[in-house]
Amino acid sequence: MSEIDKLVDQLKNRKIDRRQFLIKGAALGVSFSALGGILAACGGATATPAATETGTAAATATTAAATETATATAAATETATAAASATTAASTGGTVTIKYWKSAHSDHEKEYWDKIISDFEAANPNIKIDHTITTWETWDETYTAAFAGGDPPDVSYMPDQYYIKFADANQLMDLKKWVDDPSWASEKQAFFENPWKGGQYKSVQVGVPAFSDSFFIYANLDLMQKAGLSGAPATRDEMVQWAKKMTDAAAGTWGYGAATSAADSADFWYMQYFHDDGANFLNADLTANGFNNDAGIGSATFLQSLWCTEKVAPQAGSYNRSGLLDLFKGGKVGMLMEEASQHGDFKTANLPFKYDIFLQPGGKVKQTSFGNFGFNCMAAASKNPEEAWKWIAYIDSAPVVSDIAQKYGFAICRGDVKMYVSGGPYDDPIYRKIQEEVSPKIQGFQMVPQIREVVQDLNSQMEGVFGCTATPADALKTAGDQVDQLLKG
Amino acid sequence: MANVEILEVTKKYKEVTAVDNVSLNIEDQEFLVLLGPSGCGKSTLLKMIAGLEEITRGEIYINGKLVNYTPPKDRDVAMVFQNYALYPHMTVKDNIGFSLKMGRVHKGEIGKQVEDVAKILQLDTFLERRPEQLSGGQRQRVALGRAIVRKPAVFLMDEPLSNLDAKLRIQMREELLRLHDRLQATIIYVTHDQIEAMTMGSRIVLLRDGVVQQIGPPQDVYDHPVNAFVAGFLGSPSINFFEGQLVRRDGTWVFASPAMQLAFPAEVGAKVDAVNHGRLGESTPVSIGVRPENFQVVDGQNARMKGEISLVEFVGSDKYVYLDMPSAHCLIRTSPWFHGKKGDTIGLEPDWEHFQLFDAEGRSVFWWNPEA
Amino acid sequence: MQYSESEHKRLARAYRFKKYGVAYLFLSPNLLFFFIFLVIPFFWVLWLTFNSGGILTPTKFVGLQNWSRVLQDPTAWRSLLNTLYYMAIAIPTVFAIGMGLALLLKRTTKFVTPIRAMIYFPTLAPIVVGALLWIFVVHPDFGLFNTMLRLLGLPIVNWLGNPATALPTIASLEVWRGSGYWTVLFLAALLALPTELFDAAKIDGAGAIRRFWHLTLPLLRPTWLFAIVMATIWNFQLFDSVYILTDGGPNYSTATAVWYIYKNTFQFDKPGYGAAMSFFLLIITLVLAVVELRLMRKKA
Repeated sequence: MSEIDKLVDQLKNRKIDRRQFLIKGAALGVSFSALGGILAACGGATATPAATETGTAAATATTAAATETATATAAATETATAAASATTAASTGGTVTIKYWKSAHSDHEKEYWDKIISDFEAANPNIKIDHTITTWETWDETYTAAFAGGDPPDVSYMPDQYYIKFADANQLMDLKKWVDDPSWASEKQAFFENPWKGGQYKSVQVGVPAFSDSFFIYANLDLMQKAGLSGAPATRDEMVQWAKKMTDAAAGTWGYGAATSAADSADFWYMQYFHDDGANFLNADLTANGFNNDAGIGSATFLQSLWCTEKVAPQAGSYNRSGLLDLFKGGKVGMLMEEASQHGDFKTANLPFKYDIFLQPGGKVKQTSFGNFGFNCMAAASKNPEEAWKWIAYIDSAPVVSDIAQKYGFAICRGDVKMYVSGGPYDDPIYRKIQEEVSPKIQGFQMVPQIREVVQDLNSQMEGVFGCTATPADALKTAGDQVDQLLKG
Repeated sequence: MANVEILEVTKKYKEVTAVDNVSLNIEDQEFLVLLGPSGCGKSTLLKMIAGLEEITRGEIYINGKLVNYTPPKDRDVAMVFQNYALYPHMTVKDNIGFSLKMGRVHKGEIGKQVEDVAKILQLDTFLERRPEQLSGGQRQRVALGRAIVRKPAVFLMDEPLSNLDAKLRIQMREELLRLHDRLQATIIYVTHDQIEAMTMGSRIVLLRDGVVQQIGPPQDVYDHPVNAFVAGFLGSPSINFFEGQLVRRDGTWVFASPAMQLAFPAEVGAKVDAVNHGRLGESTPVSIGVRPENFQVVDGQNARMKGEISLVEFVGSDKYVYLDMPSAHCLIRTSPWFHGKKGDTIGLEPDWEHFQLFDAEGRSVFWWNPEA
Repeated sequence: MQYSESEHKRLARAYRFKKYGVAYLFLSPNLLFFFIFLVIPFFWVLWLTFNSGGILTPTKFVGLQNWSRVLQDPTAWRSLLNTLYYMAIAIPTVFAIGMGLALLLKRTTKFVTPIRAMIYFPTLAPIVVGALLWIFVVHPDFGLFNTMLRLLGLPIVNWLGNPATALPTIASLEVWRGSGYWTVLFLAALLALPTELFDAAKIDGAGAIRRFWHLTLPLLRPTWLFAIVMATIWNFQLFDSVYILTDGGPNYSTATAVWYIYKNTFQFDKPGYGAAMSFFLLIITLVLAVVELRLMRKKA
């Protein structure tokens, strides 16, 4: 498999995020020009400054959206009434087509889904599934255009941060009617609490969770053995001791590794410590920041000690995420905080050492993994909600979701399926650990429309914490004030 | 106060020889013109004197000092360029004063000298202007001023008048000559314009393909060209050549061609005999050259040269008459009162005093070495 | 006159239409694009600055709220100052390097084409390639910069990790990327200069350095004018290398104006805010460009 193929594969499998793809994808000729064209390019001949052009892109998109939003909303309200009649039409013998959009998680996306669809269509002869594989690259633009244009897919697969703006704009159907139906109660029961709640936005059930991704520590067993360590550290103090034992300047090894920059979305690497201490991006009622408090400052202080006083992690900014991954693969990191989906990569990379996974030791309140979930969502504008729901219920059912998740190498959000069991077709002890020990502990983002800006505010200040240039108290106060200001509007 | 000596100088660009073994001695205060068609190497030679081109082989001396390895600024030469090469971003004053500024002359002194020069060249009212605000003639004068202000031992001028219109060119020719008298400077002047060369040069050096053809005062070169090229290059309208054979008939030399049978008069025959030493035998292919002004129109009936008029051009002081002859063409210059018209047949008689005879290689028979 | 005044007018109109009609015909596709992609969006963006709301939610008129918020937003100011600081580093450096290389290339007679291609390569390379390469240059452990520092026995620098060096490091990448373009531009301008002027200056006694100051630089003024104005406009838009390498960090030390506009418009879903900031940027760019043009013209 060529490097390029691997890269595409990784992207399709969502194993690297989009920025990583852009960076790594240079060889593919995936240029930044789409974005550059919008933002950076000021045509050589015209002296019109960039600002115009930058704004231009925004304007084109937004204005198009603005004019059509009205229509879309109108359509949405009408849909509710129209839906009933459509359903009747369907049940009286017509065939209903459900549009299903999902971006690929595998090279064999079409093959996998063709099977699922043909099974479904066989069982539901009046429903046809019109399946479109969208690209992650242009996810935002594609879905925004479809929803703003009033002709969205009936069912879409949306990761949490992605769905939020659609949910906030009332573009997603409230699924309560179906999920609270007694006939589905046993299904609902099977889902872990966090992902299930992750599908609720402002008391609207906008999605049914399908897959989860999570962050935890990959531990190099060889380094651990050399340091006389085994198992997992039980407390943060113990974790520091472990890290110190595995840090060796002469050998170039580090006890701990984690991404620290906003560019790498560092929140995935530090937020679980905050969660464990009872802090979060926002407070419980989502009205103010949830980190500029003793809990948050405590977590940040602990994290800063790893970089600045104990010095058990490579200096912030010296390695980016992919640099750290290479360092780990080279056997130079004892404990690396990383994403669940990296396991597949490590497996194929044939690492020269054995590794295991464990969650970071719990904090003052609990022990969590920061992760995110992918949901199946229905458009509010769907003309055939009943059929659309049938499709959602089908692809989220235990046999279907677990089968495809195993093919993808993902964890799922329901606890009633034993995946990756020993001797089974997808036997893998690490995946099993992820599914059984980590997935139930996943805590995701709080769902407010400003979440990305909140994350930006905090990440920027945390860069100062990791870089030893700001005290945790100052950094969190700055970010906290910004977030509070932002939420006040 | 300078003489320039060029000794066996050659310039090669890879395979091309631009200047081929040229030797020249330029006297102090001489106005020497390097003349030749474009690509003959005259500008290259000038640039080598200036130090802008390296010399491939040979030596150049200025005032007896070898300058091959002296940078341009230390050769005590000034140059006037074809396109004037005025600094477009500087005023006339700064253009003229630039070399003094580079020579770290005191500012006040620069101003004084620039003004002196400007007065000579009647530029004093334009000192604050930029080149783009000047007419062609004024620019030309600024270029001269820039050269004069340095008080160089040698002026090098590279086709300085070729960008001016005809009238201005004639006027500047005169001004340049006057300037030469006044400055008593050595001037080496490059041109492809033979009239400029003849009117201005105290001596002409005629170059072709990097090789010196002839050196001498203009009239010498005009009247006694060493070869057909020199004869053809000088003079406007240019000399008429007739191809034929030289035969001996009844003890005299006769030029025979389809157009004419021309028996040489005794004194011309004697001149040929003096240099011949048997080299011109029976039926030797030769050509004769007669300048347009060296014909007399005679009665067409008995004339030895006859032609039919194909075109008559009136140019004011003269008429140019184009004639068709059997396998030859001929242009003669007549008085403006000549009455012949297209279709008339007229007779001609060459002026034997200015008659040229060239051998098969184009060399002038009269320049043959009589001793050889 | 045999034709009346009005007949003359009519005939003149028809004549002019014939004369210029084709020109307009050929211009029309360009004008169409100009209107669709520049003029109309320009006014759209202006309208957008007075509205709140996202792409999916309806817009709401908010008056000058976006404008006043930009003025009060410390991050907006920070990103603008960062951009100016970046320009102050990058533009003079890239010009000096571009001019230096152009002067060297002008004298080069061997392997001219491969050398020029090599120098131009960074400009052609996609930014992702450039950014990747630069990671190897600025890497604290094995990067070129630190390797050289180590060889010189100097302390190493965490180039992108340190807020003080992050922006200059980004600038160094942009200089590397941009120098090829400016080299080629300056080289073309240098080669177009009449050699006679330099011959004249040689005879006038000016050495190489004085020829450069007294002739080359002033003669290249039109090129400089273009270069400075364009470099200002282009460099105000520093975005992609920041987005890829640091995403504004550490701690906003590499946040640039366009990066912040992008963040607000596309990631924070605040197109009105992004539009308002775009307009501020437009105004600042315009003012700077006009000032530069004036200054350069005045000297003429």
